[in-house]
Amino acid sequence: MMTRFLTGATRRAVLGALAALPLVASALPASADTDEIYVQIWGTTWQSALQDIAERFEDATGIAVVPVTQASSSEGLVRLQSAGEDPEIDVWFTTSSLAARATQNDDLFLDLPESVTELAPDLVAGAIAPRYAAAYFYPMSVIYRTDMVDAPITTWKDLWDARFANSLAVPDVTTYAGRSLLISAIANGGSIDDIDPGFEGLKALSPNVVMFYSSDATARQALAQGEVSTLVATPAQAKRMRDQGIEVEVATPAPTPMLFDVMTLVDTPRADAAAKFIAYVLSPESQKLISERLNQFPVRKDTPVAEALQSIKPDPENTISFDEAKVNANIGEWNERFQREVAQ
Amino acid sequence: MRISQLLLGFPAALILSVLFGAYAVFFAVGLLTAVPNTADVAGPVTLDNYARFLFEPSYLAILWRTLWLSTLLAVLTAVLGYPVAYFIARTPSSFLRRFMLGALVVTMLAGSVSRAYSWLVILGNRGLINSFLLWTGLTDKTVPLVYNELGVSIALVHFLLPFFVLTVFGAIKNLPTSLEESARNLGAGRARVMAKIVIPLTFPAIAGGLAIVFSLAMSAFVFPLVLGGGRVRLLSNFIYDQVFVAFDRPFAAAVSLIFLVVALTALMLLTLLQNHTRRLAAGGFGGKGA
Repeated sequence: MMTRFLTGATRRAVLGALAALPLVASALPASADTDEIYVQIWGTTWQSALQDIAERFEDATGIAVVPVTQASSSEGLVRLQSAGEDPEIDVWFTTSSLAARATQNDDLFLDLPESVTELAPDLVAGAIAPRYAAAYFYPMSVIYRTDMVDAPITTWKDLWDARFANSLAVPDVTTYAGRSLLISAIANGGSIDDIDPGFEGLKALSPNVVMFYSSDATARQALAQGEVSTLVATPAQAKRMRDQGIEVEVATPAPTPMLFDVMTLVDTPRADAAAKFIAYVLSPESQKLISERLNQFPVRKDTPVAEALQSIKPDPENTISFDEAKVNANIGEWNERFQREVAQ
Repeated sequence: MRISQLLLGFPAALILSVLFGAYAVFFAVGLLTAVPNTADVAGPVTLDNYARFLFEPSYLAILWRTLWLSTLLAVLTAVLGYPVAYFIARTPSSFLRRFMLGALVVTMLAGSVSRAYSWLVILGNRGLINSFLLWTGLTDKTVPLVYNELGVSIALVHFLLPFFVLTVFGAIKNLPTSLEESARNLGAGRARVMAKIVIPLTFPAIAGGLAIVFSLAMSAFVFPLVLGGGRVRLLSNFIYDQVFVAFDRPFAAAVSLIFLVVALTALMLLTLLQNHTRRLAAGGFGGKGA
């Protein structure tokens, strides 16, 4: 019966599948192959600058970098956790906010080696933590179309003006780690510890908001189509708009929240090679490339800021950062309240 | 014979065990708790996550909103889709039938994301519809068709329509035209033939189509995300937020299981309705024939 069951086409199909197994296996990450490392990163960030840096890194060290794209760093974290004891990612790009939460997992993440932490004096304050190193930083900015907005935007409070009725795209609370809520809180007399004015501010802002976005791509499309005239986003979005031929201006009103995108070292057999890559991203040449191609600010103090960023470089006295532990502790509750009181 | 039956049943049993195993894991994770300020989960075993959802009015409001919108969209799809299915089934032109069926299949196969972005272009303030309305003077300012529930609903009906039409089309096609002709010969008007003959005899297929589109609408995720402008949040989006924003996987798992139970209950009701109408249709038809 069994012989009859496995005859002809069925048997050939089974044998074919068995023969293909080595090919499939070779396509999967080798567990201890230090000739290549796997980097989990956002697709646009990879394409804009990190791909080039990875190629230079391979030329210099012989270690190939294989990108594994993530739609969001939260999705990336869930993927990492799902891999259990055998994460097939060696370096994970994420936000400093999420890194502060995720790297508490001792089974998944390693402390950065001295070869990376010794670079701290060359970097801006806050760029290095025991378990992550910032690749670049960026201010929360206002990007607006010059053909749709007459007068320049100079303060956050401008966004509440009636002239912006039905013309803003603002990140929702889940995007950029609640910065829109925190900006609203500060602009309306509150703080991270007194968040109610932030919600009141967003409620008052709502008539001006066309969309509370969770995807940069969707927000860019809305600006490109003229659905909105003004976007609260990062300067990198402005570069992508200009690359499409859309004239935009960027403003960095005070206080300017600063955010880091960081690299974490995952506990894998390829950690040494992965740490070399992290150090390479922090090299002067890589930092220059990130600034010019990605339009983000370099974390190295000695790297010149790209020409396009010079005019929007925030005054250090006007920048503000937030306690990521507090953000992480409250972001879930803030999001539910935002959905209840503002978005619906 | 017995061994061969077991062997044949093995793949199906394996697939089903994987499917139900996934839900068993969901149920198990839903009994745990998220560790504060981390992305980890831990014991002790508790039903708190289920209670948290079922006793919080704002969470239940999302469930009711999802149920209400899914029901509304399923009915709207049926109302719009049935005449289309009837036309395709009864058109004498085989070219037109093939063309329309092809168009429906192509629409069905197009990805949700590309369709959602296409609707952004069509429904936007500077999109085709608003440009037309402004050009004709029917309105002097743009009509908000997107980044709200209306935009999500339009795109979802477009998404659901092929599923309903293709489900009902076969039943109408298999219904002998002689039945309609006999009724017309006996003096019944078109509307009466439709109401008394065609719709009752194809109601089992309508119920089946409703079940499919209802379950698809219940699980809608991409369209609210892209076209809702952050203002339309259905249960799938809520579950996503619990996993990827609050990192509360146990709560997300509990809500997913509640979602599954509610969806299955609704589908069971539709199946009961389908079986009931099938019996009625068969009985009624047989009685008249006798």
